[in-house]
Amino acid sequence: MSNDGVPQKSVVNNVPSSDFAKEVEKEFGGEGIMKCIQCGMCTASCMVASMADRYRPRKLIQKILLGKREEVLSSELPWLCMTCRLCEERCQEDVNLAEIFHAVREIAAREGYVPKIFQNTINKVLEDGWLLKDAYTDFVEDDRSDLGLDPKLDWNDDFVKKVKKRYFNGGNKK
Amino acid sequence: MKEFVLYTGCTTPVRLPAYEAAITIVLEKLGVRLIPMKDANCCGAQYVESVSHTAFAAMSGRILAIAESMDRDILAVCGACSGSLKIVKHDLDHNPDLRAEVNDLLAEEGLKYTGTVEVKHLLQIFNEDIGYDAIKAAIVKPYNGVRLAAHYGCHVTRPPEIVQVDNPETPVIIDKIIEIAGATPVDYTGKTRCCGGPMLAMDQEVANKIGLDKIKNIRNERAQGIVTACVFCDIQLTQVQFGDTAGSEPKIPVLTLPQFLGPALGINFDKLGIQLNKISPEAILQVT
Amino acid sequence: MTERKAQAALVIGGGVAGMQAALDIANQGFKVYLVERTPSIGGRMAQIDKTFPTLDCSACILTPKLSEVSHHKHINLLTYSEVGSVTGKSGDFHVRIRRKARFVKEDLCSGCGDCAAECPTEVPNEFDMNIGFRKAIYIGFPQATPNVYTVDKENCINCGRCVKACQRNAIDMEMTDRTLDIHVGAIIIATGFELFDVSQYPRLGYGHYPNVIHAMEFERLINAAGPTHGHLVRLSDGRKPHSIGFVQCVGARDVQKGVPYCSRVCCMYSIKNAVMALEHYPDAEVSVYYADIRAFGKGFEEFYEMAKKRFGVRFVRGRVAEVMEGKNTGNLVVKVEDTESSTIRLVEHDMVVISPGIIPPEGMDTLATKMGIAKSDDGYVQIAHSFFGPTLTKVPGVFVCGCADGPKDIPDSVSAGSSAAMKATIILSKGGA
Repeated sequence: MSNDGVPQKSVVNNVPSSDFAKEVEKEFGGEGIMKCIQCGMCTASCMVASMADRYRPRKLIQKILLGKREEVLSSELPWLCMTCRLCEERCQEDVNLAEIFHAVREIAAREGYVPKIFQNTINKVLEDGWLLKDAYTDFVEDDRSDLGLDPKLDWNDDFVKKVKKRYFNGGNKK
Repeated sequence: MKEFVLYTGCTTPVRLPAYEAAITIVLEKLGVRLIPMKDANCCGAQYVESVSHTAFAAMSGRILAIAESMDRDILAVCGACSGSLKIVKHDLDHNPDLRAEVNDLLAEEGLKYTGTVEVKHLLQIFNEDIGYDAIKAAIVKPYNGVRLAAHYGCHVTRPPEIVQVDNPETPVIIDKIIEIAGATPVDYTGKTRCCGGPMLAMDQEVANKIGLDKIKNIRNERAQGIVTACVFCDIQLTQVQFGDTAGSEPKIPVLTLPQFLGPALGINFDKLGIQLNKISPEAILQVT
Repeated sequence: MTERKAQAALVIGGGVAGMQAALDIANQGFKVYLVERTPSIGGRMAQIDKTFPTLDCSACILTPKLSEVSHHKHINLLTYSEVGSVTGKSGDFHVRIRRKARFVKEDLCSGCGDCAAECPTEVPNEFDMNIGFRKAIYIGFPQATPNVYTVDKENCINCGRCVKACQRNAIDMEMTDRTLDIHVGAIIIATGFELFDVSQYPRLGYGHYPNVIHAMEFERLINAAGPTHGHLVRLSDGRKPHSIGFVQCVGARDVQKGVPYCSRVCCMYSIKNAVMALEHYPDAEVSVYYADIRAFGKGFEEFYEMAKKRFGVRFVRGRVAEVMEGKNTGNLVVKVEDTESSTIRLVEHDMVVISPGIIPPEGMDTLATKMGIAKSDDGYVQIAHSFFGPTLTKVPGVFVCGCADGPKDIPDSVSAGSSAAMKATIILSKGGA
């Protein structure tokens, strides 16, 4: 407390709340999040965590459990999971982290938080029907012919337009 | 002859056509014919999957429905596609609302998903449909004990309850095939870890570190080559060895499983696209 | 004429709980049949070096009980025997016991060991967790009770040297299994526990890396009567370890491996093992990797504090993900997240001790079916009520004690043994009602 009687301005870092965890729980794939006991098995297994100090899957779950909704949704962290599922294999409480992070990504996307690279790739695939149209050069076509493979790649680009119309609004998620 | 419809995914036809050619010719030799899927679309792995579960189910669902219309099971050769198709199949089978939603979209093309189609990854075809005995019987030019490290890939083996390909913690299929063909399978630290491929989108530096860590562990066991079962892993484990941080050690050749098995079955190198491999595996393809 | 109810009780299992129950019943004047499937009574406590939290010598406090049981005039000790069939009801059970042939006459054998000295066949000793060896004719440990040798027919090569060596002609290779039918009024199940098979965790390297051992192997290594005469050494090269890591929650609190429950004793036995490691090598570095430390009983928290402050055991809050091996050194690297600092650590140890959870013993299913008793979801014997019937099963006249109904430490097992004995003698003293 200060000496001169003037009240200090208090800084609130986070008001703990289960609301965000409950929201994630209701989302497809997010069901098991409350089972986490924060033991660290996931982080110890995670190759991304081993190579990138900023990413700790256990801490990300903790942030969700503590209710740091805005911070988590606007952050790149949920998008750093490689979905390799080594954490899921080992978690003794049966928490499916990759699924939970996918659920978080879906919520984030609804609020407009999608990393650029993801958004660009999604736009491309919804446009072309597949991902590597621009990479299919003449050289590759020749390689295919030499190997006896059909040089014509018969990808359908109609269906993705329907998908885009139904589930995405002008490229951004509905 | 058993028939499967081949779903290549986006990457294989463009970035690793040798894999496509090798699979087709090796499986043909072992009694499995592949029919290419026409008019397909991306399975939606990773990108669409992340932002809309329903859109993802629709994209992979269409692939499943096309196979159903062809009355054949699917062979997926990319780990991510295999994972996506199997997971979506599981979701559609257990989720009537989702199924109805997807079928509603597919109905416009006259397609429908009812669940009769199975999705198999390449390793399952070798293990379940061809069998080790048949592979052994077909070996005409065995290897001479060359030391090879198997890399299975995360989406191939996990989550085990859904994909049911091999034991995720101690997988054996590739190692068994290596052994049958006369080479020496080698274990190494972190065998079931990810190659880092999925990380390329968000942080290439981290992706490279993860890939190079794997290469280092493999090198520590004096393995002379790496055998893969996923196009993405194959490309990643090859290209990390060319980066700035790769170091000056001689590069370890990376081979897809059919490219490894082909020579032992008496198939010519050029039919397997060996010449297209960025790191030439000719030194290890010494078959008798 | 009123039917006379049986005046005897049957105790199945000769560990510390079963022995306590048998003694308490016998001391009231009732007859007890104590059936034990291994050649000797003593159970797990005979294998343990020191107990927590007092660091008592386990064998020192156990052996007087072994002696008391074997000499008690009311206890009929039936070792190397199993329960065949059970019929009847409370006060009036008919049980068929199968007495396995040990090929050595119990009333003639003096435990002198001349036979074992002659035996040419050596096999891994189960009592020493397969680290040490025993002969094909053997006694599990020096204080085995009864002090009678047993022939392991599976590994015996029938050379006959032991028969010649025995001066009392106690060895009979033609012996067959026998049955014994008994009439008892109450039955107490005291079948104890088994360790979870930690080779089901390939990522921890048990079974692949020689310097990764489990807690019971550790007990045998530090025990003076063990395979290394109490010298704590690495199994790869016999050198003393300078840095030891203890891995907790393996085969316990694991939903995916079918053992979701907490095994209750592992935190405490690991703290005890960590302290013992430092007693052996005060300069060693000892770390315990845990999710929670459950030091709930009397004296437990103080023991935990002593381990930290007086002995310097390092406690790291983080479950171990992987144990990797350094090829040339045989040293191990533990990969763990220190959750208190969010740091991922790769810690080198020259020995890693996995602390297995405990599970119901093999054969529990069969026994439960025979006795008509219910099992709970985790495979243990189901008790009638946790407040009012912690040693009662749902079958009248059948009681349970020790770890047969769930993980317990030694004091709780002994208490339960006495409690079950009391329940049994209530039946017997009423003439079986």
